[in-house]
Amino acid sequence: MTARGPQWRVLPVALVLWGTVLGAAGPGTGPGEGTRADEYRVKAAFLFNFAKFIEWPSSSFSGTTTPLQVCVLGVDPFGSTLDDTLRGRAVAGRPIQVRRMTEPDRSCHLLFISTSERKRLPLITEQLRGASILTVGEDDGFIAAGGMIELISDGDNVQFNVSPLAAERAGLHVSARLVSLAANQRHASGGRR
Amino acid sequence: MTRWFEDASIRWKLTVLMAATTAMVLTLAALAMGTYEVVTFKRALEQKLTVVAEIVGRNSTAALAFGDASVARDVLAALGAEPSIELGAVYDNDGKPLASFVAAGAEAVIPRTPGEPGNRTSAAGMTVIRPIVLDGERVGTVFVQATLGELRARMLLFGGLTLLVVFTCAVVGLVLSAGLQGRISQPILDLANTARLVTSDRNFSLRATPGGRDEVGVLVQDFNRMLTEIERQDHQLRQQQESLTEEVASRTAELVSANERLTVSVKRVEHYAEQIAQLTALGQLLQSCVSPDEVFGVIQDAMPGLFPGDSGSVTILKASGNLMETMAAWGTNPPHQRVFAPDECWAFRRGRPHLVTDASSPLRCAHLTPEDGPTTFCVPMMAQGDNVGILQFNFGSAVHGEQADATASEQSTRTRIASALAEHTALALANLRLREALRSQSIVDSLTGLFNRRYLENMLERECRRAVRSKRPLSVLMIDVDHFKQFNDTWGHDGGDAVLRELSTLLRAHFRGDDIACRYGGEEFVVVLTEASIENAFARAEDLRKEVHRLVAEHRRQPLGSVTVSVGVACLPEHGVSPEDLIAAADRALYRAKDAGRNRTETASVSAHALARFSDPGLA
Repeated sequence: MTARGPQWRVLPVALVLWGTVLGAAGPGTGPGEGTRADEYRVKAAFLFNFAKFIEWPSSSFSGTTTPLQVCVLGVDPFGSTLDDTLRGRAVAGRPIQVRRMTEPDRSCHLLFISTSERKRLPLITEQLRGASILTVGEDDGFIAAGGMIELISDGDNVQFNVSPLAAERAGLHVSARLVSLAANQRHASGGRR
Repeated sequence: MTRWFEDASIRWKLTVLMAATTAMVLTLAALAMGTYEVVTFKRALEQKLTVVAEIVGRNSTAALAFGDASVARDVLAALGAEPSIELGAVYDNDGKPLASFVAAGAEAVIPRTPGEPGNRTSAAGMTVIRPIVLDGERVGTVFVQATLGELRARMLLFGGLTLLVVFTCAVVGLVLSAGLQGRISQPILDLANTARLVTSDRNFSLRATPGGRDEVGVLVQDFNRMLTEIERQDHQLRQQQESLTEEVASRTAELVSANERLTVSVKRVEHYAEQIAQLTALGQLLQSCVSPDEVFGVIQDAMPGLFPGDSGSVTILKASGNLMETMAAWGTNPPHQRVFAPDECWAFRRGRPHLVTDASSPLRCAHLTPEDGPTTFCVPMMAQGDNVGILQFNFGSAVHGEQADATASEQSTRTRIASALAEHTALALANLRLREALRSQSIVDSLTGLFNRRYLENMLERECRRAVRSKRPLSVLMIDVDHFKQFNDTWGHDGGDAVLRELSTLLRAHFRGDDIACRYGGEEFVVVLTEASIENAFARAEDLRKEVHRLVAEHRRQPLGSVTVSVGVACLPEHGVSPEDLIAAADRALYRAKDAGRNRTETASVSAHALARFSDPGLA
């Protein structure tokens, strides 16, 4: 871990740049400005990329081209960024549908749970038990509360933790490649390449 | 190079060929194997790199998706397991390198941009570039480059091994072929050696050692057969050459003898030509002779040159007609009988040349003696039908013809020349006679060119008659040189002749027109002056006498001294009317002038009788 120290310092810059590219940058935001909008553009791209490394059980979709439901629960921190980022894109041939809701819906495939729902997080996880829904949150302790992917932002630098176990329980398969990128898994697997 | 190779021995050529062939085959095989090796190696390397790039690409998709360079670096670090790979990189969609791998010790540098996907091989190495696709979307590019150092090392090793093998094989081949080529080259070398011996010694009886039944064996057999044929032809050629040499020798001998004969002929022809030239010159000489004595002298002088070794004589029929007399003789053995009767000579009798080659022949002329030799030849000298005499020859032995046949031709030539000579001589003698006759019949005196006495007599006769008929006078001057004998005695006859010629020239100048000057005989001259009276005649005679006195005659550029004449004058009709009377009267007057002291003119005394006779026809 000490050996990796220097590398970690390089990473945030790379991620910021990456986010800048991937999210079609909105007006008024320049690179290197640690604005909220930039942070969420990166996070929106993350959501899309997570979808690519997750395998949903076939029962989650009624057809091969059934849209992938990306839902935002609670107060939406993205604004239009999420729609902009995901517009016209597809995952495994499925178009993406963005929905916003105040109550969890089991028809969602990927559910972003806003920090506004922090207090009832255990309840929500309880409600979603048995449903193959990838839950993404940005609260510290989101995984501990039963969430699957926890976005960690440190200014511009966006990372994530993942709980493959929680995902397995929901019937989702998380690609090892994604797992290997997770901050918590890096810590756990240590020197594994 | 090729030249040198062509000249090299077959033994050596075979060895070199075998070694070269071995080396060539091995090199070609090695080349093929090397090429195969390279191609295979490259293909394997390419495959390997493709697989590696594919793995790296797939393993980098997440890292690319989340821009995680460290993960990508981890993935690329796996390339270190493959020693041939020296570079590896993952680029994002913008072509920026996300992570890279550089093998330890590699000098290559990661390109700033990935470049077009594909496989490339360059001097730097083999490059494989692949797009990285995630869920159908291209998310980046993977770049892998392997060094070809291993290939080079392999090729080096392979090349070294090949060289070693080729060299070893060449050496082994050389050693083996050095032993084996003898089986092929030895018969050829034997054949070549035999051929060389045959050529150098020209010994066609040599034969090459026959070998097996292969091409060389057949060649040896054919060569031997050829030698047999050459030997046979050579023998034949030698025989022909010998016979040819003999023929050439005999022909040469013939040619030499023919040449000798020709030389003799040429000599003879030259001799004949010379004789003919001499004969011609002699003929001209003879024609120029003014007396028979000169003719005889010329012949006597020329004969030894024309007939060397022979003797002879010129014998003339005397005027009496009953005696032959030798006038000239030449040579060492001229005819001995110099005077004989014409009947004694066959040639003279028959008027034809008479050759006798046998001393005992009955046809031998009676005028010949035994000393005259066995071969005699008489030629009659005929001219204008007259037999003038004979040329006699006592032929000596042949001088120019060394051989018998030459003697005969020599003989005939001599007789021919002798006949021609006889003709020339006869002609010359006849000419002289004719000239004498002509001289006697001439009207002109040959010495002075004046009319002669005979003409004077004829002319005077005629003129006298005419003078009588026309009753005109006519005078006659009788002129005599004073003391003429002294001129002859002092200066010889030539001196006297010179005086006479001078005088006659003066006479011709002095008397012209109808006057006629004549030489009367000796130193006496007569001038007939037609229509001149006695006074007139006397005056003109005096003029002449004075003029003569002034004359200075020269003989051989020396003055002969004073010349004077005495003149007697006679006139018709005073001193007679006949030529005889006139001449006699003038002569008498001349005597008187001489008696009176010479160098004077006297007129004849008048004859009354004559005068009366003249006046009779009626002068009065």
